[in-house]
Amino acid sequence: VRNILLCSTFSLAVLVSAVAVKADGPSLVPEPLAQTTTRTDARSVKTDMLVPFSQSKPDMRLIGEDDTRHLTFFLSPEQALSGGRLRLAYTNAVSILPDGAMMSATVNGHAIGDIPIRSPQTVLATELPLAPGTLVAGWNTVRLRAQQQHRVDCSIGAAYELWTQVDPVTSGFLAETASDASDLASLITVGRTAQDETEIRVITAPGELARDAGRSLEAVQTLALLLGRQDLRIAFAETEGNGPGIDLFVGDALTPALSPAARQVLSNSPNGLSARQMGDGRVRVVLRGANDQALSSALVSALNGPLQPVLASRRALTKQPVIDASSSRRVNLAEAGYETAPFAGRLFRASFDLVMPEDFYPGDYGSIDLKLNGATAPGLAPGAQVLVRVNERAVTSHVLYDPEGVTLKEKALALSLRAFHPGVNKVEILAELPTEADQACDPTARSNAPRFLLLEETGLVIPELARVGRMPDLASLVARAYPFNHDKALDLVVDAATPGRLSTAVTILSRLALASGHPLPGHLVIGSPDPSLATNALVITAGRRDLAMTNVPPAKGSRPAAGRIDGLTTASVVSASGTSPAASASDSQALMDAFQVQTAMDTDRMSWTSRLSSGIQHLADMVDRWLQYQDVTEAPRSIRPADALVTLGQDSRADGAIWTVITAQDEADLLRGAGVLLDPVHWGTLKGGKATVLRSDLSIVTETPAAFTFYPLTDLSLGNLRRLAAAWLSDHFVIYVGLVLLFIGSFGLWLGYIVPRKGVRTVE
Amino acid sequence: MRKPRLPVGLLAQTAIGLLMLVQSGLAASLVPELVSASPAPQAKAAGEPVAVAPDAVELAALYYYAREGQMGRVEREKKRLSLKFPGFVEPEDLFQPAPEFSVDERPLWQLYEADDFTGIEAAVTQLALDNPGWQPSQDFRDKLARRKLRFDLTAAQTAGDSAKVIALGQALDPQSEMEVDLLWTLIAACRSQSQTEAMVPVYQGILFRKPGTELPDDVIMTTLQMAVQDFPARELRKVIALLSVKPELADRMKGLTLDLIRRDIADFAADEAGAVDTPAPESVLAVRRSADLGHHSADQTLLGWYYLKLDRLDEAETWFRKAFEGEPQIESLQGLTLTLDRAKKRDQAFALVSGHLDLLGDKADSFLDILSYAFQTDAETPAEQKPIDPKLAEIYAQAIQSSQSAEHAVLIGWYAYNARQFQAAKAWFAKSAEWKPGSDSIKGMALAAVQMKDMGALEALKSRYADTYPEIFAELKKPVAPKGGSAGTVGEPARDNQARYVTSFRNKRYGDCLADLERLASRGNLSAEAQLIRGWCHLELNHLAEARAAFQWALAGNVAKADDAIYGLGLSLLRAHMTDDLEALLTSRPLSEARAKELRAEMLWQKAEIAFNNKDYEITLVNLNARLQIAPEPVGMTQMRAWAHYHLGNLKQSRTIFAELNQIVDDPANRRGLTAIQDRMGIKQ
Repeated sequence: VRNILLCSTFSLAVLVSAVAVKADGPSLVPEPLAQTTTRTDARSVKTDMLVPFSQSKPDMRLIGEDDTRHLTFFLSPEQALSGGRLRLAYTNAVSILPDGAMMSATVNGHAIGDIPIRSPQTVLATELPLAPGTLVAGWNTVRLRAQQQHRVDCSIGAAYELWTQVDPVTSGFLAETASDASDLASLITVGRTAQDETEIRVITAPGELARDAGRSLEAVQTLALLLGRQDLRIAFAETEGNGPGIDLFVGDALTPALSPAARQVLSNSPNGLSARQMGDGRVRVVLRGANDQALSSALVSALNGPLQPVLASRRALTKQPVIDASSSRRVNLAEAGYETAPFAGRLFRASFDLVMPEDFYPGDYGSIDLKLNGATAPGLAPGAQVLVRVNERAVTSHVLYDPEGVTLKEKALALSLRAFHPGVNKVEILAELPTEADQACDPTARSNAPRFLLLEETGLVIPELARVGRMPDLASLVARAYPFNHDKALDLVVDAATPGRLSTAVTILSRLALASGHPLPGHLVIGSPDPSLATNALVITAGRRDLAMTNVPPAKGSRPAAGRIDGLTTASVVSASGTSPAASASDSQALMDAFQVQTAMDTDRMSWTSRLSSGIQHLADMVDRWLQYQDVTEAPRSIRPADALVTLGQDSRADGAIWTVITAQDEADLLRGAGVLLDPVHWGTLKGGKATVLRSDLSIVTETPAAFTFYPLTDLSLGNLRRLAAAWLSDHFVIYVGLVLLFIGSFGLWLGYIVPRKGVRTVE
Repeated sequence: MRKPRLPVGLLAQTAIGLLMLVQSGLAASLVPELVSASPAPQAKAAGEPVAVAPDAVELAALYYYAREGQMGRVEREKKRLSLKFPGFVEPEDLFQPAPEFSVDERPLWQLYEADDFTGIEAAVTQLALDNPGWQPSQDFRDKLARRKLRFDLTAAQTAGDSAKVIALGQALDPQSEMEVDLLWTLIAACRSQSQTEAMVPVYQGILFRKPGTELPDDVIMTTLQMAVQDFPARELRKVIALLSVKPELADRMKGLTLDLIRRDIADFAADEAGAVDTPAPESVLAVRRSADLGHHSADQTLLGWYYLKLDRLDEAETWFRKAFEGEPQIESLQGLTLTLDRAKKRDQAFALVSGHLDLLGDKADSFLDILSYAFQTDAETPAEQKPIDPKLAEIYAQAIQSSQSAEHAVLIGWYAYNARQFQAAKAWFAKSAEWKPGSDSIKGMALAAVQMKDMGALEALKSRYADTYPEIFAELKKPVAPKGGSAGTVGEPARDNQARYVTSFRNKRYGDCLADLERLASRGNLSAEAQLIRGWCHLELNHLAEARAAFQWALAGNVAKADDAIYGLGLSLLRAHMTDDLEALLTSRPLSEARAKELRAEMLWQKAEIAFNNKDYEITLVNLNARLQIAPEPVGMTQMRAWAHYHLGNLKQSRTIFAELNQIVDDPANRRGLTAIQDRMGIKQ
């Protein structure tokens, strides 16, 4: 019946437009409910201007029993003077005990109030008044601390079920004065879409997509740097959009082929960079200039003029939970925004990002020492321990169990440098603090007595690092835009000028600009990269086989480009008819594997030599994985070519140029897969040599490269060479062991040779 | 007799609005509120009274753990809740209303079960006679009213009288109605009359109820599925977000995703304002999957419209064809022909439609353009080369008449003319000129007259149109001969074939009627007759201002049935309580006596009522007296007269009237009046 009903509706909807509801038609939501806080409504009842936080969704999630986040927002001087309200819209895990669950907010160091955490099913908006005195013109920092407990489960693992997610779309500062509608700095207040993204929509002239996209690269990167948001998405369209976002016009009124609307916008705007609030979180940004030089200089003068405060005061922001490890020194947690506070829960958690230099070489040649300063309360149960996890993997631990309490003073825990990789590393200090009472978990016997205290004097001692850049490495690409972060030219190669491909390409470019901290000198190329030029390239291909790598003649002395880039993806680029040799080859491999598993001999029927060799092989694999801090789950996975949605890989060429390549079968796949890759949750965690988004479950599979290519050494000091040698040997431990044995053996031989000949003299 | 009606819908909406305001206060826990936290929220904890029952937030985890099958946690959560809220009862046992029955009225109940309402009336009178002072129990009266309402509603629905369903439905309170099928009937009626706004309170009443009186999840789900047809997806998403407080329901509502996607795509394809920009590829993929898997012709048709909208004609054609081949339906046929037409494959479109003439039914007028393909005579295909199916000709002719398309009438006229069927040609040209005069139709008429050698008719045409279209009559000097012999016979326009809007109006499909008129109006001005029908349709749907305007246009266009138009205008003024305007209308325009009397009587009664409510008793009496001059007075009005006298201090007169009334009808109101008067007179004495 429903289908019939639906069918008739559609025919009605399609044919008799009179039946359907008008845009401003009646609302199904009752009036009193409409004024509450579902995300769309929260925006519609807005009377003041919402200045959103610049952080993206993953940075607004408070996890565990006690967690802290730092959020920032930008205010004009008038807004800072007039004050307003801090709106926090959030939802939380259903398991959070409503009694006593609190989120406390501090703005620029002033405590402004606590909010009870009780909204397990919907997004609930809560507002806290902010007096003008607590605010400053420029960037303001909000420190959110959530304290939450589990309703019924007192185990350590249950602490991971606790989370409170602040909604990036509807949260922020509600300013009582709207900033001047034409103030350039007000573009910082652009809202987010319902998909939690900040959209920059570049308005292109009909039929001139490639020209306008190429011209907008610098402006887009500048906007990305100003906004500093990880959830940016760049779109290309011919008309302005609706809802929150930025419409970017680049060019001049005299530019040929403009649509009449765009021509009017451009001709009504002043020369240079200007912005205008269009309401509903939408901002129109116009960069007007007659040619590329004029556009560039307009950007520079805007950055030195009205946008100066945005950049300058961002630099002044301190206490971000990020530690830079590029130089050898000691860093205390206080510098990463950690504040000492007694902890009363079961699982203590303090986390920060440790940013390794892009040419950092991981290995077992040294360690970062964590100097713990803290104490536990008496009465903890056996099993209490401190754990340090790096990139979600436990690296070291220390037992805390002592019935009378433990005091830690500069207690050193070594974190092997092999556990880190270039770029952003997430370090978590965890303390598991069970007590006897937790076993019973009696709701009447809940106690809020503190169990642990970690002092902010706890520090990290960062040693000298072995430094040599190597390829491929996605982690240093996403964290530092390495190797594009130099002033060397960068070709942005797209196989066809379509809005979807350009959107992916330019979105990635803007992320790289954010990572490197300055606009990259990108140049848009439609077609295939020019192999004769030694230019770095970011290549986006979506199934245009004629333009794919296959027809690029291999540069002399280099390996064939097609095979080098990624045999798997070129196989997937071939249309999915299932007859392509590459696809069938891979299928044959799978069949072969299955065959071998099925027909494997019982071990006791094998010859002792093969048993021994397979045993040694197994052992070596295990040691290797253990050495590399790899889980079994991270062992290389074979991906069916048809299952690869989008692949991101890197390829270095003989002439020293580096191509970072994104491949997909068609544009729809590209958009879907790039959406997953570019999601701030995933983008920052990319690592290894190649990342593939699977079609089946949209998960990302990372592949560790089989071999690295090294860049020429920049640091030729003896210390660095020594560390590199040590690191290399730690990677190739068989050679190390062989060398040791060789030395000992040759010493023995030498002794055997020399003693009979020279005799032994006894010293009397 | 048409009785003026109060705009009940408006009142009901206001009442529900107020109710919801009150309710939202109570429902604070169900619905997220914009909490403006006080500067010192910590202070709250100390003096706060202990809550007696857990709210939705406290209970949320209980539902969640149960759904996840974590029974150990359910038990511990129950223990926690009963510690925090002494006397906590599990949610399942919260409501169980015990039914109540009265034994005295068993025969009444039997009649009640048999839906014998006249029998009940007789039985009640008999019982009341036998047992003085007895009245049916409140329970019975309430239930009887309900039963009668249900009976009438169902009867009206079966009869397809959606206007009556809507009128009867005003007695339902969507906020408390437990028999949801009645509300659903009401929604369906509103939908068939295109009254989306009237649906809103009904939907809200079902979906958003006070905590504790919520309807079962099944009902909510069914209602949401219905709402997908009536409201845009974004509206529904808001509703779903609000309803997601209940974890189980939230989970079930995920099942609506595909429906919402369908709606999104339909809105996009229909170019609906506020529709999604472009449906996400995943959404389209989901529908494609459903269309491929289930071979749902509805989904296939939907995809057809979607691709047609995107101008991807090949794909649109494929989908429409799939849908049509799976299940030949008018809608997929329509899409297919539209696609083919746009792809410049008119011949294919025509072949398709002419192969499925049976399917067209009363929708034939949407296929006019394609049907006309056979009748278009151009240089390459003269008329004689196209043998025309007589059935096709008949359907085409009917469609032209029901849509009153002047252009197509001319087309068929020329076809008949070229086939030397001058009588038919003339008739069609005349129809065309009647609907929309134009040079083509006049020229056709003149040529037909020439060919039929009907000089009288030609002269008549000349005298009437020579000034407007001189060129036609100039060309007549060298008349164009018809092109050839008979290819198919064209009948004359049928006499009793009504325009579609008239049929819709007759069948009480007022929404359709207005839609038909809208379409007609988009092609040119509406005739005065059409305006008259439009007025009635608007009046039936309670669109008073529009009705008034339509009647006025009809009058301005010198409609033949001026009396009807004035009467309609009077009724619309009356319903809008514009008594002064009505008075002016009655004095300025002639109206048949019976209708004038009816309008005047109602107007005076309205005036009296307003005056009485304003405590203007003199004026009440004046109006009642004036009314008494022209119409007999029902009991209720006489009671008002008596009360007016009472308030003016004319106690004696008042008592006489009440006493008289008491003789005629036995009504507690009269006795109450008499008692009041006696009290007051006693005090006076």
